[in-house]
Amino acid sequence: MQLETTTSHFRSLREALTLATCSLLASGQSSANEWQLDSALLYYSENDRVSVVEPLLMGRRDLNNGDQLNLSLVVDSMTGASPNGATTTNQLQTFTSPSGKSLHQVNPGELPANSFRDQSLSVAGGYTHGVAPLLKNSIGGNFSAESDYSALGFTDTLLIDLENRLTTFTLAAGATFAFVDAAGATPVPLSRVNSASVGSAATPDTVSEESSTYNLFNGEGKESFDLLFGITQVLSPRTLVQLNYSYTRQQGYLNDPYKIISEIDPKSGDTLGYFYESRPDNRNSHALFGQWIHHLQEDVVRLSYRYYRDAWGVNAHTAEIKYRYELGNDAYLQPQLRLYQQSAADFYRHSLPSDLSVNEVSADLRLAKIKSRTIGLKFGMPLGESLNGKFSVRLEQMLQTGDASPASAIGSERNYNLHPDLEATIIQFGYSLRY
Amino acid sequence: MHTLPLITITASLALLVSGCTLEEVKPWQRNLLAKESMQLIADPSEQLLNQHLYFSKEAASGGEGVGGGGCGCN
Repeated sequence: MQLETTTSHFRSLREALTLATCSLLASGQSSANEWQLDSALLYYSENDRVSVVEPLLMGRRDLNNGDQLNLSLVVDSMTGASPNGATTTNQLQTFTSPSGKSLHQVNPGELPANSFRDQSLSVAGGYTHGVAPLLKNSIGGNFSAESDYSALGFTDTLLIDLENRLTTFTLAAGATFAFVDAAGATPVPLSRVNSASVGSAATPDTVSEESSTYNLFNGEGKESFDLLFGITQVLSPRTLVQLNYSYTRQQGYLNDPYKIISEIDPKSGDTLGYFYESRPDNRNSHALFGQWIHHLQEDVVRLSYRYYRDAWGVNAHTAEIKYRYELGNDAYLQPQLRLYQQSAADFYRHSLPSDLSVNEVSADLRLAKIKSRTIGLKFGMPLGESLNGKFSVRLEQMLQTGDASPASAIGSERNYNLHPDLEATIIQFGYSLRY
Repeated sequence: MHTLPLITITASLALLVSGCTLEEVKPWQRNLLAKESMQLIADPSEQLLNQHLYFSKEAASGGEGVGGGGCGCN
């Protein structure tokens, strides 16, 4: 018994020496002067709506002096149709594409949507420096661009370990400066949509091309400032918890330039015309995030929960559970479930009766009352020469539901599903390599 | 939907129970904590892609970090 304990201590000591340089927050096991490369390809497809192909490349290098360099590149290719906010009605509706190049016809009883095609590029970099034995500072920058959007962001994160390295405090701040440069022209909130009509004959539907030119840092500006305070605590050799509080202030042009709202007859519910949406020009939000990670005999269970609320009246709960079932030889199978629900923004309406005067209104379904669940399975295994590569694949199915028959529906609106379900399939392939 | 509050309560209880058993963890007892599967972010690429995805589909965001470029998000 004594011998076993001693042997076990020697083994533990050896492991401890190997791990001596691993900090609590190190996100991988790459050793000095080696690149840890993560690549992934995401395919996201909604039933009858948007599909996205998104390749990603991330690189992390631990330097000799203990510093760490991080780089990432994400490319998005999006195509499909996104609900434009107009309500489903018993009349034919015709919408000019955002670029003004084509007309889009929506039959009675169908949810109006804008067809679009766009590409985006995001690059980010970060450098983490050990300022003192128990203090690390990480600076980061990111840039993203789409044909109608560009953004530049900066972050700074301080990681402070307590003496025993069981507790880590995180203090982080970030600022993002973004520009919305809609195809055509960025609309004035609450102005009438001249490019849409109801009841008239329409020309055949074509896919619209949004502006293919990238006018970076042009258009309406919006800024976002983030502050985060977090604590990570090792509870036992098998258990870790994290608790974060974050505050975000957004200000500027916070509208979605492609979202409109139907003006309806207050008695019949028939569509009379359309306005561009109008959101407040600032938004303060708070998020509380907690995570609990526990190592069972072999498997790992991970629970997380986030409470979110903002000045727009949105309250949201997000809960996630992942169970990593070890198959042996570093292969695993991980069922995962994500549940989400949010209340509607105060100014959300599915349509606007003509006798109602408002300053702020949006019919964007993403600001409606929503429930969503994503259920999936992930599989991972070592792959490649000397098995230093790792392959993974995840398959998930997302179902987002809303209030299909709200009490506020008027007249003919009651005949239609005003918030159709959103079903999407998510497939991600990943391959990581130490180089 | 009562599932979420239920999960929240269960998760909180799990945290509390874990909190009650807080113990001193010596450096040589950290081998499990150093595993990739035990990191705060187990799969950075999955996290980044999910943030992109849910940011464009839901009103809530944040909590896990700061920054991020946002998107035009049609």
